[in-house]
Amino acid sequence: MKAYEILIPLISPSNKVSDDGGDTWYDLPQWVSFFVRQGMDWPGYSSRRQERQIRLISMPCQSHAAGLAAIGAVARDICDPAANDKARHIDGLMRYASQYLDHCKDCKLTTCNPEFKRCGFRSKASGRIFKAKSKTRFKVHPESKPADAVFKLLQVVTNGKEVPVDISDIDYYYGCYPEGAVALEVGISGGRIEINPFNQLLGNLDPIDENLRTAYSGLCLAGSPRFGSAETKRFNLGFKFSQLGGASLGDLFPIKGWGAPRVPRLVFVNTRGEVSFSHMPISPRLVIADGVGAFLNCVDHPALSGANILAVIRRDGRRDTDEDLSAKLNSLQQWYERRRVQIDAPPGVSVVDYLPIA
Amino acid sequence: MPILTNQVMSLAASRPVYFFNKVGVDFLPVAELRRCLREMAYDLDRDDDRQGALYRSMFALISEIQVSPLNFDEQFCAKVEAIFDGGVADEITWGRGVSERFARAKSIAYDLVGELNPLVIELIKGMRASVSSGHSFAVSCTSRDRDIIRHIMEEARLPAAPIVTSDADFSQLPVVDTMFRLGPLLSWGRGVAPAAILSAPRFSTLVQFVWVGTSDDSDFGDDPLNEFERGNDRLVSQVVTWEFKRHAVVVEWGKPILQPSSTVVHAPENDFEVFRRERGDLRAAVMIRIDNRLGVLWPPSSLVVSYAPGHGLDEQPVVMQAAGGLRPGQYLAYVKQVGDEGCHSNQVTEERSTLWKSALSAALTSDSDALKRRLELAGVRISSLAQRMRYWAEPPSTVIHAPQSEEHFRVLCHELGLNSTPAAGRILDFWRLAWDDIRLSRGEAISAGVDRNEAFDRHLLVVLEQRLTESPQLQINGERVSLELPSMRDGEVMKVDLYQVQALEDGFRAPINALKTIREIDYFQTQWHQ
Repeated sequence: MKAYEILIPLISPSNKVSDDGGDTWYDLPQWVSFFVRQGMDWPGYSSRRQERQIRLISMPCQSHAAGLAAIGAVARDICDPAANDKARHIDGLMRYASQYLDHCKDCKLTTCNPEFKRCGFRSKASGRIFKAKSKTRFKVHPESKPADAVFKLLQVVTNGKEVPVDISDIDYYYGCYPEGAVALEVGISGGRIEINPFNQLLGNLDPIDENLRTAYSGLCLAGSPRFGSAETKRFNLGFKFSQLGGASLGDLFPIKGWGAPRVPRLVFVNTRGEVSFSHMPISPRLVIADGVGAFLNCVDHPALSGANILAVIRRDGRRDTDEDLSAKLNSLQQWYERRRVQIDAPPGVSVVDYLPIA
Repeated sequence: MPILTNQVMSLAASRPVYFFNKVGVDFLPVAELRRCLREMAYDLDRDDDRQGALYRSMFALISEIQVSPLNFDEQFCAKVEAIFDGGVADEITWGRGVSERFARAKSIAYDLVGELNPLVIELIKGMRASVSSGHSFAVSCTSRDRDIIRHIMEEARLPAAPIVTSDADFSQLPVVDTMFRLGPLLSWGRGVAPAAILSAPRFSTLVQFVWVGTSDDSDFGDDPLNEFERGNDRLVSQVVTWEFKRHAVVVEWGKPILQPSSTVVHAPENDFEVFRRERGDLRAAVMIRIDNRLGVLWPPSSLVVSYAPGHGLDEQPVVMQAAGGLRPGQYLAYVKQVGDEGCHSNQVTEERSTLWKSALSAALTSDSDALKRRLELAGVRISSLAQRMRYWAEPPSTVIHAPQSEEHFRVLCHELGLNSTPAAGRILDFWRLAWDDIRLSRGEAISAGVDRNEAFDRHLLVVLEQRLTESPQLQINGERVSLELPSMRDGEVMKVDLYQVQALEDGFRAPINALKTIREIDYFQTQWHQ
């Protein structure tokens, strides 16, 4: 059985939860299981569609729903062999090279203008590739074939001459990144995701060992613009499960800089002020946005373009943000079909999907 | 900040239906006072600076009446009086309707002094009932009334309860049994309330106290993801279902109320239909009849220059007054043309209109059906075209009967074979010149000098008064007197007609381009009478 075909485990109903740091405990509410499950089966996961899908979940109040969905998504991804940046990174480089070779290299426009050209790309692929740390510059060889597993590179030397190089070791490419992007950050030294809390919460998972040891940036949690990183962390530390022996939701987040050294597998997107990342996402697969502000800051962010989005929207928020959301959703409707999702949502919760128009 | 998720979600899980008790308070003096404000505001032209300021102060007052726990005291009277400078809306300046209604409003406000506000009484009753039955509650009101509500609670010896005035307040509200709301649920303005009151309730029952005839905003509670379906008994969205219970409280009123005059009133019964209507709506207008066939629409509180023959010794013969205050027998000064338009002398105009009307008559005589077909083919698609063509062919009088649309007139001239004509060494389109004649005859300004403003009106007033009082004294009688008066520019002349007002008719609402132009009474009554 492939990892992405596993049955979605449920949180044990004997679990109790507390949202005030352990002072008050409640029987496991339906909405907690619902959001963990939403994170595990996020939009576009099962269908494996290439186009972005957006799911908006309406909640009546502030909640830990986004964090719960993030934990669900992390648990799912550590069991998924496809949740690995290595392959995605090489895919990204290949797409970049293809765009350069097939389109941008021979484009007649002196200034890149995809809207005018109607080429379908977001920006120009210059063909330049950089190597992290050494800062060596390369250029895609014009005779490379996009179908080549490893394309040829031209090394650019300091006097401006382009010298062909032949690099057959694929590992070398993990350190390369296209102009305007970032290097793959992988294999943080010797750490390992602690699987026990996930097992305690969700039953025995079947994780991919490499995923437990390898950094990943395909999954993002975007905090509300009202909170910075520290406040979001503190907020999520207040949500506890009885079966975790006092550990909190915040403790489960594998976010760089949020606790003991571990392998980062969840990027925290700080939307307060200028958007920043706990580590740079490389073609992320899913962004979980906590609130309208986080959603609006992420939906058009170039580093998150193409990622599926699961946004938790509270109805007791400010009216002006509602108006911004309304405007954004209206503009999305030229590319997406709005569909109300009839799923077994808890009372007071509704779900709307934006699916790309075929 | 407390985390209330579990409370809120538990409430949602336990409530398949929420209750919305609407308590409508029927109190005659407040209803009549609101009516006066509505009717005055409905007649105002918001785009006019003078009337716009008045409109805004009325809006502020009616909003306060709607959503605040007002005390009916001398301060309240002063607020009503302060709508007009000095507490007076004289008929000359504002028109008869506004003047009468303002007098009524003031009278009612005085009579209300010392009365308890029934909305507040009902609110206190509701809060006391909650306390005695052991139910928790919160109150939703405007932010500027927070302290007053707190004071009311203290005076009524009620325990302190949360007061919700904003989205931020609502987000921190713990779950309570009942929410009391003072005033309608509005999405903007003074009475703005958090949309979450309906879309994400933290109470099982909402009790709302409003004046009878008031309604919530039709989209209140909707958000980008959830919209309510609104029925008479229920309000249903994907996440919440509300069930209405309506209850009316009639509060007796023993004092007599000044009755309105016979002036016809067409204002909607809902305050916010009047005060929150979109700009660009039709404007209120009175029709000034200038003879048996023609009239002109004018916003009732907009100013006109008028002349009253047989005026008293201490009265000014020429005054600037509200159109709504004109009386039969007075003369309306109507500017027809400012400056010399060259090609538009009366003689040339008459010749030109006679030319195309003769051509039209000839075509109708030879084959009216063929002309009708040609016009229709060319895009003149209007009802009763055959009848209208005969009407257009009538000889010119005060106005030149012609198609209403410039394009239709161009087509008509083309089909009649009336093309270019040499004029002053230039070749000018005949139809264009003839169309300007028609516009002039309809009183439309084709000269920049006819850009009417208060300075222009004051100039008109002065020169008209001079002309009428200089000797030998001009005899003004009959339905229409044409004058040539000096314009604001040196050496320029403006043509002014004095039309005797035959009657004033209320109840028109017309677009701005239909105002201040002379047309057939039938046209106004068919098109713009309510």
